[in-house]
Amino acid sequence: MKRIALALIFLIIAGAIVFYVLTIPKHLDETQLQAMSGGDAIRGERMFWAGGCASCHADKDAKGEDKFKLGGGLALATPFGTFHAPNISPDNDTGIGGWTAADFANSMKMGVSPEDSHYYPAFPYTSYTRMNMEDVADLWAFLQTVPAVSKENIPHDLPLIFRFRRGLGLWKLLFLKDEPVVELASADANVRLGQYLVEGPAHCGECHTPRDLIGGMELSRWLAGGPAPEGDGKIPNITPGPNGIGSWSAEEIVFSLETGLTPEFDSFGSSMVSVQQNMAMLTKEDRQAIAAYLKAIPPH
Amino acid sequence: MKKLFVAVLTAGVFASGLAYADEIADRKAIMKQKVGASMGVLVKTAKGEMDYDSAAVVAAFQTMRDGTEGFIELFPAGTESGGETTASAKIWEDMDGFKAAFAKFHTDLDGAIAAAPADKAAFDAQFKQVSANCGTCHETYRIKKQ
Repeated sequence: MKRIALALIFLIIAGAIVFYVLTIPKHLDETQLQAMSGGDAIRGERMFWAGGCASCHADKDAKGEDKFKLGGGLALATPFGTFHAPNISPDNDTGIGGWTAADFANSMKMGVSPEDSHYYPAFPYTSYTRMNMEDVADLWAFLQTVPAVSKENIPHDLPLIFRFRRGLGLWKLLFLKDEPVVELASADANVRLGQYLVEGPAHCGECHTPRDLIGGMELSRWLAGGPAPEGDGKIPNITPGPNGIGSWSAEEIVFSLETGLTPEFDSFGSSMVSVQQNMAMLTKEDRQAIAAYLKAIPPH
Repeated sequence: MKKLFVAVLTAGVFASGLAYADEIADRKAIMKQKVGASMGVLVKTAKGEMDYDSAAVVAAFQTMRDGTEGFIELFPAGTESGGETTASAKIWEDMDGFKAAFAKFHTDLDGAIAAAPADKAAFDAQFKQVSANCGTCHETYRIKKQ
């Protein structure tokens, strides 16, 4: 009896140690962080629009210049609870004015906060992790140029079991991967650029790819749509398959990203309206690359 | 004669009952046939796929304006769900905001019709103003749809 009790205690301690080690927040190393010193704010604006920062971190109804006021506040209602996008303006007290470039890079690519805790993947670092360090550096430089907004963060509203962030370390072992999602055998430079934009900064898969029970993207159904991961309704399939947008030409995809109008003469709705406004700020070449990639991926 | 009268009356009551039950279908049909069909002409013109025809675009704006008269009344309580509607609950939470958004759509359409754009450049400005309403309204008042 005593032996069994001892064995149990041993197992619990061993389990706790394994959990502790597996969930230690991981950071970028010094070599990787070197790129953070050379950021260019002008180039960074492209990443700001590609990354869709304003769609969550600016006020919900922000138009024009107000999209640069990143005081946060959009509420994302998900099956795991409601997440409130934080203030990422350069305000010292309520924003990220006190962050270093390394803090920013670790948040974007590793999903780790300056306080060394895991971010919830409502912040789409599972896609941003595929960004080049140069682009992350440019975006960081750009974010220094937007206005400081003084606005306190609203705490996330989550059930008790999800408030323990340490456990996200295990989730990240499963789902935080920086290799490309789709194998494109003989893709030209245009399609490759589209792949980088869609799978990385533009984080299209975060909504357009269905999720499993623990909230990870089902990459075998990449961009095949499904129940909305936040809010109501269903997300469209944007693969070239019969249930997707195979009937749209590349030019029609480009036009829809420019105008928000579909080839069926409908308009985008819900959160895609804000996303489309971001896409319209990219260059035509970037939109054409996205369209070429969406024509090249496996159909579903 | 009396029989015929009763039959007509019955049919009338039945048809109006159906119409009431079918507001969801009606609003979908209006969006598709009146708005969507007009958008076809306008978008093709905007993209340069159709030669510029002032009369045709004004007619399309007019069809959209006339075809959506009363559209806003098709959202009575009880039509929040069913019939694969993609109407958002926000319509009923904020009926005034929804009505104001739709009124702006009509104001912009009236402006486009009155302007009767004579050339492509004038048209592009009017079309941009009118079509911005599609996304603005659908962003808030329509749920994500497959």
